[in-house]
Amino acid sequence: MEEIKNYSKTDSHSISDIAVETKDLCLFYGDKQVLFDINMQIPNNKVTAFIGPSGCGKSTLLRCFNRMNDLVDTCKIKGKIHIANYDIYNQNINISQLRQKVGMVFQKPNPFPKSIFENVAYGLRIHGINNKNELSDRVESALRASALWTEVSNRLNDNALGLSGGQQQRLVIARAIAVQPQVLLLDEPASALDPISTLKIEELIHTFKDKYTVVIVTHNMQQASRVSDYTAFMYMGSMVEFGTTRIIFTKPKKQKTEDYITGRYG
Amino acid sequence: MIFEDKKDSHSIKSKSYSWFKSGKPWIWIQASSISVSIILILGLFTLILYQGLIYFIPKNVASFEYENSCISGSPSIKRIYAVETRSEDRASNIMRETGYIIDPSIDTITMNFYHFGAREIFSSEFGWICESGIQNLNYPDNIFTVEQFEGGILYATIEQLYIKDKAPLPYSEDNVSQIENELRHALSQVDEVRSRIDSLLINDIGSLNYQIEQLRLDRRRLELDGMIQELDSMDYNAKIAEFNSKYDELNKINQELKAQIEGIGYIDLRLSDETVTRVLLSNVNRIYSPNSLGFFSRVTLFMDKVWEFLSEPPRESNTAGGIFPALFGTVLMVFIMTIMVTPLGVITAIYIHEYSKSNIITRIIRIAINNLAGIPSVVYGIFSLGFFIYYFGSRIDEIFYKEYLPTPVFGTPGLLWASLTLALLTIPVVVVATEEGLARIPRSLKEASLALGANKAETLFKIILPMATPSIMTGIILAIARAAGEVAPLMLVGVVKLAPNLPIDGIPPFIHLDQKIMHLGFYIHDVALQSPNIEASRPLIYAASLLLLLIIMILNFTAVKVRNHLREKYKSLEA
Repeated sequence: MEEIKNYSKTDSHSISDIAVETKDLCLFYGDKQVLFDINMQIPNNKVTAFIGPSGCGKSTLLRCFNRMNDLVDTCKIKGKIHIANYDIYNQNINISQLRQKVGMVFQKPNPFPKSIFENVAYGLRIHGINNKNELSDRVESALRASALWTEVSNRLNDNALGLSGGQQQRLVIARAIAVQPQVLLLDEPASALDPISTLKIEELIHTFKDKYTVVIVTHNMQQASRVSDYTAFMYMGSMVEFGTTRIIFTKPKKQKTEDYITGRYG
Repeated sequence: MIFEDKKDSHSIKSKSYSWFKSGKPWIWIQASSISVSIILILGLFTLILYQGLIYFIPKNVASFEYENSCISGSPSIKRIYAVETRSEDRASNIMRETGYIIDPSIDTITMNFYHFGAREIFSSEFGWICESGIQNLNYPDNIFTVEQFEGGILYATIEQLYIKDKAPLPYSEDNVSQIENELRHALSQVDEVRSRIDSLLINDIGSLNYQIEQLRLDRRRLELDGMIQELDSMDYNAKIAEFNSKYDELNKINQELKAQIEGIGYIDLRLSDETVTRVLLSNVNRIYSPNSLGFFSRVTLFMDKVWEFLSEPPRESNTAGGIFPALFGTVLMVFIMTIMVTPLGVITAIYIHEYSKSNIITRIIRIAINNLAGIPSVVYGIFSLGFFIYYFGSRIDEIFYKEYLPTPVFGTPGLLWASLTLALLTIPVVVVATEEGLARIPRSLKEASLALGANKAETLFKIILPMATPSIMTGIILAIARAAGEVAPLMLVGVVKLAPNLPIDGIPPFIHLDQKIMHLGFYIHDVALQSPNIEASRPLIYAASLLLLLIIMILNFTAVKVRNHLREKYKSLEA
């Protein structure tokens, strides 16, 4: 907690170091409140992990950042979220552009039933890139960045559903980074994968730090400790503790955090 | 030991009880109900297949002497040429009461049902004949079956063949092949002239009539607008006179061609009662001697008859000829229906499933759509007649076709309204199938598309619709199959007994949506229930049913194939 406080003190003038900032964020599904007064500042070009027991609101919080919660009719939001200094719940915000800047990868691999190439090119086409050369260049670089290029370069026109689960998940990551987001939201990206595929995803996350702000939701605390720089522990819709991963996992300030980390519940 | 004792004490009771308990009876009930269904379907199909195909098989003509020993007081006809269609055993005591004189020692007599043809000499074309009165039954090679365009079928021997500018050719054993050759040649000539007459009637006279009608309508339009002037009127009369002279010219050509076709030749036939009747070659549809046909010629003749059935319009108030206009009308109507129902059904389903909030109104709409499927189809017919035709159609006429009045254009049953009625009838099928397809698309794919910045419409067109196509197509094909088999509402909204003019032709606007059409289902209904000659049309009912059944079966099989193929394609997503 201290670290982040210091951090915000010293760097509050340079807004570019804060990628995502929430202020008194509350979220309701109908009458039921799911998130309670979340205040956090997710630093730029770092990996931040959300941990916590099932149903604590990690994924819901994550889905606020690219407004995926808009899909739920009954969902209401109070408070503010700033990403790159924009209030993303402002009326005038262009959701399509927001979602280009804030990419998302889901728990289960969900490639479209199209070719590998078309999967990666989908977002690019949506954002108006139709030039053939530019498309293939950007598809290639996205596939290289997600360490999939060597495996699929000779079968780009095959159906993406023919790939293995781990490959599909990396394809989905390639699809997300092809549109060059600033923030990448990963919602339990490895929970449906085998250990080797999981490892590959984790390696990817390490390489992403230079380019993107990564926010990852995970059930796996080892994973959180391995990949993240900052960790947020959530419980019952509230942010219990947020700090560097080292501190959260070695000497957490709150008893609840310690109980969870040491496996007393959750 | 304890268990064994228990078993023994209950052995008689528990045997049936445990069999019941084991669940086997249910398997038996299921198996037998499935068997019954399969037997029913196969039986139905076999019956229709057999009865439908038998119509096209050339049948042997029997020649026999009939001593009228069985029945008193009926005219005695010595020799009969006839085709046996079926036979029955009947109890003699019942037959005696109806006037038959039968030896008291005989319990049952066999009655055969024959087609005699030759309406002139027999009181009826068909009749029952007592088998015991038949003598000297044989199948001579020199009997010919003469299918006439008008006047039914004749069974007769050829007396002589006369072809224009040639000496009459009397029939004898030696010149059979010569006569057959001459006949074939003359009949092809007849065909040629007939097609010229047809083209004259349809193309030249038809388009002239169209022009005259247009002129009259133009004038009427001007008259209604109050813009008619003396000069126009003179102009109009001159044009009409011009058209009339053209018409007379064409009519003259028509008369000449008719004289020509009738003058090609004739054939004298000796009927079974030795009277000679003359048949113009222009009236001969087909002539063959069935008893001398080899296997190959039988097959050729069979195919020829099948082709005639499929490609020709009906003749003799639907008791002979083909069903092409009905086939064409059915297919065209279903096609137009598909064009109407697809966007309507798919858009409805997309709205209900993707856009509308799941509240009470949506639920009511969904229930209403599902209930539409259960409404008796004739109710749709009544609704269409009342609303579309009499209300909507006559408004269209008043606004766009006022020069036609009092003759209605769209204010009367026609192709458009028939298609629209069927579209309304089949909307639930398409909506339900499409909704099923939409429901099967994983939510995660929609989210993936949205998360990449696509908006709802982009997601719909790029992801959801392509993936829902199998279901949409299944829905459409099921709708087509349902529509092709529908009859009841169509009788009210545009399907008629006879409409030999096809709704598509060379006269603008080329597709005549206001025209009445023929339809296979209604054809069956009409031939079965309204035919003046039920015995002659009986095989046609089966043949038409077979055709309708085949069309619907093909459509259903296609539906299943398409669905399975595309399901396979997207299978890995549905885990």
